[in-house]
Amino acid sequence: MRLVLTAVFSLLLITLAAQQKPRFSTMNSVGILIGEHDTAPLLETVNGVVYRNWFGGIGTGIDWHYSRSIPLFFSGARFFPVKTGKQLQITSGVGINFPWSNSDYIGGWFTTTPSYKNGLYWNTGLGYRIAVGKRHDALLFHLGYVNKTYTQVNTTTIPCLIPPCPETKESFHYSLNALSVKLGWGF
Amino acid sequence: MRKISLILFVMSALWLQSCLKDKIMHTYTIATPVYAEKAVVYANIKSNNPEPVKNPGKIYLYGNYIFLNELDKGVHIIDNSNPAAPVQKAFINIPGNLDIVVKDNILYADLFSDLVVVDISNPLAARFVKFLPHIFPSRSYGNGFIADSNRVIVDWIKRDTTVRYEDYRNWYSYDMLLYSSASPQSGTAANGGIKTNGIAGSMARFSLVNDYMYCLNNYQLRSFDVTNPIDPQQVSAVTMPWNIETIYPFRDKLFIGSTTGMFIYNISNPAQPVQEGVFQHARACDPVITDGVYAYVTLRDGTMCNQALNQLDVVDLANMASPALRKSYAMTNPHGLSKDGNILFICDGRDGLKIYNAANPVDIKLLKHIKGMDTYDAIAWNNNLLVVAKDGLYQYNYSNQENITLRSKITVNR
Repeated sequence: MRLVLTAVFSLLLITLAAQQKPRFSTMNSVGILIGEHDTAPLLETVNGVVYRNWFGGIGTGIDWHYSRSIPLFFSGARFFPVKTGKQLQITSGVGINFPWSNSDYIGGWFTTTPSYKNGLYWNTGLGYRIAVGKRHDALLFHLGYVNKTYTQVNTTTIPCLIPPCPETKESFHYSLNALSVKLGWGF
Repeated sequence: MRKISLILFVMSALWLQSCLKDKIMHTYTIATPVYAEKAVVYANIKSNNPEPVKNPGKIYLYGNYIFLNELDKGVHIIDNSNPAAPVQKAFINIPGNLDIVVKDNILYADLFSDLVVVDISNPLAARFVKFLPHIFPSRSYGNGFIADSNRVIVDWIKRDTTVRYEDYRNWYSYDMLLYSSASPQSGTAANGGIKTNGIAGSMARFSLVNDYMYCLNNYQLRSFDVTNPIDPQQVSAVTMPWNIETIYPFRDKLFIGSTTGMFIYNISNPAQPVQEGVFQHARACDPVITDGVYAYVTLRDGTMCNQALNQLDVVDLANMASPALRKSYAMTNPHGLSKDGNILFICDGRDGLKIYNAANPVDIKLLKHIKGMDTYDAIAWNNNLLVVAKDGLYQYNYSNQENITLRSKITVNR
């Protein structure tokens, strides 16, 4: 994990260092994640700098794939011009997945309180950019693969009349995979 | 070429399908009971070396000593001569113990379904005296582990297990950890001019009034003559509604909290308590204390308490036969409470400790709110407040209401 982060960050620094005329670039997408257990929407924004055919930046967003999460990740891309105004792009990103569950209590005969721990987030994919307008504006189509992990720790209180009632803990480590289909706009 | 493309397409699809499989690992704890012969257990009921406080339960104040229950394990003996620096002196192993009271240097404690009598004339050399079997028949080991007549569960061996968890959607588990606890219990507080020997918290299920000890199990109020402290004699067993929880003595009355209401029992004849009044409320857990004029009842939700009700009820006792609600105050998740003079202390669960000026019970004023601890019982006595919380035993100096200060804390060491 640390090695990957260092590599991506180094790539970003090299990209920045090589800039002669650094240009801000943004890619903003909406899409869906298609996983084993559900299909869920996602929103994503990646912002950084572009130099020649390289891009480096930081991305974040929100998705509802199985459990709502907010990833924060370093992102890199390589562009391959295929026709005038059209480019293929290979992208990848790695960072931290922050679970943002709206469930803080599981009712029932037993009282269970879940808590969450952050995990790893990474993605990779293939995009297609179609320039629109005179500047760098472009429509983006992107097909990718996403993996996010997090841990849920359930603390269950065994029923009793007079506290302190005994507690037990159990944990679930999730590694969730999904195919991502995104449509966006950027410059 | 077309065949190759087709093969590549099928292979890609298969690869994608396998890559999209989620992986969920479930880690839980399996606990296996450790049994010991009763003879061995009784022989070990003595003052052993102090042990770390891990799961603090009921508290009982007796002279310069604090007796702190370690859930299902025993009793910590703490020398509290200096509340700013309490010293753990010994630990008495009493498996299945939840409640304690002390009379004339004799400690009474539950050991699962039995009542044990321990001589603590020298707290550092406590000595087992005798046991009374099957006083608390509703205490079970739970989860299929049943006691037999010769053995008790003294510990649990816990082992973490991690397995791949496939069918996780819409699933949640009660965990596999098996516990011996049923319903914790305890003792009572002083006041009203009665002789109680010591002071217990409001969560108590044991109570001493003069020469009688009263014990609650889930559906009975049992009375014991302890005129001869080392030889308690059961003299009556009054059947009550299920889920009676706490007992608080005041003058010739016992105030008993249950999940459906507060019962008042007359003990003019101490050997035979008689119901005198009842204050009914929605189903909730409710320890109760009284100053003789008003009763203070905390209602809370959660676990077996059912209703989403979290409040303090102030009940007028002018007519003991028909107590009347005077006012309710919203709380977060109130548990035990204590009152000294006009100061009312409420353990509001995860919302910490709330201290009120209750000079006017129908208009109590918050003096201080101490957050950051999960509290459940308190004893206010002689300007020293004992608070049992999930993370330790706190002591506060409340001699100055405007400046209530922390004196000491024995930290839980799990």
